[in-house]
Amino acid sequence: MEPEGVVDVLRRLLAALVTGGTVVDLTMAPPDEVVEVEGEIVGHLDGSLFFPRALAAGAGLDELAAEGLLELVREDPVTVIVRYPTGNDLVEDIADRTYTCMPIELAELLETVTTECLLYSDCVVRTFTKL
Amino acid sequence: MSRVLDAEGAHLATILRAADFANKRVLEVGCGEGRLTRGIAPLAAAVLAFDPSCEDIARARANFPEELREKVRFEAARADEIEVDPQSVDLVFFSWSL
Repeated sequence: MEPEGVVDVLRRLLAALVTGGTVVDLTMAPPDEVVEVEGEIVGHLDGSLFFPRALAAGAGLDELAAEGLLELVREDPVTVIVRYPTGNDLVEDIADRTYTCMPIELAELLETVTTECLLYSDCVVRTFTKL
Repeated sequence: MSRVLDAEGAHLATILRAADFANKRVLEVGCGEGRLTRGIAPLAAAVLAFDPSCEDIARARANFPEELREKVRFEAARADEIEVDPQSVDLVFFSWSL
């Protein structure tokens, strides 16, 4: 969702929710995602364009909470692992993303890796109640 | 290219800890290919799942377990296009969509 106008979209969607209902928001969180090969960290992705957008969109829920429409009831961090058969698979997958980049040095290294590569992504699950 | 996203099930486990989905009418925004929908649907009363990608929705419909299909409706739409009746769902789940 584009950060601009996110509050308006949230208002419409929250109208579908019963009073006392629940909102669960799963989103990716800083720091940058970590790449691991054979148990060693070999680099990080560049989320410098992605995270400001994600945080701005997520702030829409905070804005509605500040207005008294929602109440934050819990926040749970979670780290998710994505497994790629080879380094090249990981490079190709990240190339499809719009706002997250892979540093060229890391891409060149991963293109030589023929074993499994792991990508660690930190996420946050926030739970709100509609007041 | 093949990849395995969250083989350990950390996402689903955290989401199910974060809220009670049992017998709830759920609106899922950003369902993708229905990976998390498959974990929610057995608990929920019903799931209305949206994603802007028509390809992902087609895959979600095609691969969804037969025994859960009557509980779940997949629709292709952006978040700002979703039309749902007022006060008609118990839980809204934004899955990487904000």
